[in-house]
Amino acid sequence: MENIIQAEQLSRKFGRNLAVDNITLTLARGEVLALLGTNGAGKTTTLRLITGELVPTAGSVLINNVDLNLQPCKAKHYLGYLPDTPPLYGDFTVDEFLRYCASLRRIKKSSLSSRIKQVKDFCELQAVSRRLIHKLSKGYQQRVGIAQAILHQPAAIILDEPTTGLDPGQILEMRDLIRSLKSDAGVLLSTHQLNEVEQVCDRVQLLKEGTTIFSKNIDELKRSNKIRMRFAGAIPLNELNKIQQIVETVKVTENIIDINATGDLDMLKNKLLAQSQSENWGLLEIYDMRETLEDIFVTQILHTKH
Amino acid sequence: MLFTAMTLNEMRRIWMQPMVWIVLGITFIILALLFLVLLNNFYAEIQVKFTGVANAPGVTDSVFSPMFFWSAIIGALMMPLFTMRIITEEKVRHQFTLLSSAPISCRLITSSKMLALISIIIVFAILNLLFPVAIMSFVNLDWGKIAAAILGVFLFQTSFTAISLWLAACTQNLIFSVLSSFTVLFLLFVLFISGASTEDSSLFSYLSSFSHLLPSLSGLITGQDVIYFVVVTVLFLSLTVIRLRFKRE
Repeated sequence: MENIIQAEQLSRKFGRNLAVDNITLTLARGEVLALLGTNGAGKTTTLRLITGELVPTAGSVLINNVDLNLQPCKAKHYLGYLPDTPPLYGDFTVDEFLRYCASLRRIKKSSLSSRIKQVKDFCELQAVSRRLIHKLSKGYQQRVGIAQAILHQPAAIILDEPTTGLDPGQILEMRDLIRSLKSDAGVLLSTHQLNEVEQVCDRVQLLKEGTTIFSKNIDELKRSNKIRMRFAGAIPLNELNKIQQIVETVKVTENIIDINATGDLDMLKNKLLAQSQSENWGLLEIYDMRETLEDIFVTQILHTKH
Repeated sequence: MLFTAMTLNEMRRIWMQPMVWIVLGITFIILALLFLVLLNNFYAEIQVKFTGVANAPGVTDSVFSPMFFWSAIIGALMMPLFTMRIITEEKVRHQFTLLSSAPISCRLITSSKMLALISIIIVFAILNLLFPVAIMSFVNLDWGKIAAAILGVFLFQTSFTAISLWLAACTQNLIFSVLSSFTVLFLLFVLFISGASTEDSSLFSYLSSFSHLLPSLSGLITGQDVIYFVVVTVLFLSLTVIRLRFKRE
């Protein structure tokens, strides 16, 4: 897949404080990448570096192969950005605001009305298009923020904590909206909501104290590669090691064992069950040991001490 | 087209707010009271004192010259409220991100904001003009002097607005944004006073905008004064552009 954002070894210092330390990330079209981390992990600073709001102390950002530092105006054409506080003019109506944003993004007059209509339809803003922005609910204001970010059909959409402050219904709607955005662009979002990442994103990059400590595809994460088995008596270790699909066995207790395996784990489980019955292993339990994002977050962020 | 849209947007944001109308209304009332006091003083004292004297000061010199001097100060005092609103408040409310994340240069952002602020100065100049127009049927006025004074006040206010815009771009604190501009205005006035009091302080006097405003109030527009105001305006607008760029550093 074609990379829209290519950030290489980004670092950013504020005085003596190193807020972002050597972060590398890529975003492809059709992909949703989440930057996950606790408050102060460097998520917002990283996004601000990628949008050109801040200049990196070291490293480079390419947006659609245009260097953001050398040609900021050209690079920003490909970006749509919704910061944590949407940049809205409260005393404008939704229509007036979007028209102004369209002129800032140099959208041609001939296609202006149709594009605004498309975006309003997409973000479901038609019903409030003549209302003043400051009178809209937080959810609608967030939608207007997204509308301004996608108005010029950017190749990369950057959303900083897009669901913060929304009620549960609005959060679900916002997630649907984010999922639909990736059909035309790459989406980079920051969040500290673990379930949001699992539901919306294709890839996650975990940040801690300004550095990436974990990066993985969500599908990979969801795919279990570990099985736990509990036996009534001794573990039939020799028999298990003879099975080709099993890569590694780790004995947890005298009658509990964890198995790392490759390939289809459902097939392996069926095979093990059948063999256990025929060879009378005394198998009491067999289940997936899927590592959830929460497990990773807890072990990597909360239990790791520097 | 983009510049026009940005300037119109900035103007709209200024003129759609009640603050500008309230401030202009208050300044107009102050100017009207000042005008009445000066006019009364002219008829009650000055005209009586100079009866029969050739080339005696008329209404233009006795009423409008001092009135426009105070008008320049009052106008300068109101401008920080708008520079604060147009740039500091925009940063505080995170609206500035809309401009900084768009493919627009800081020069364009600064120019559009300055032009929108100049629209207030133009309206203020028109308000000033209403007073001579109100009495033109009853007295003889020196329109050349009045035009020079209004041009002088306009240049003075424009240059001070550029200074105030730079100060507003330097901070994220609304109160500091306004107070720093007031301090600079006060400093310029002190420089003018200190320059006027001793002959050795001519450099101080030259640096003060007030020294370049005074000749215009007596009808004299010199190239030196115009250049001074243009240089100050361009210098501080450039500093504002640099400051907005520096915000990213």
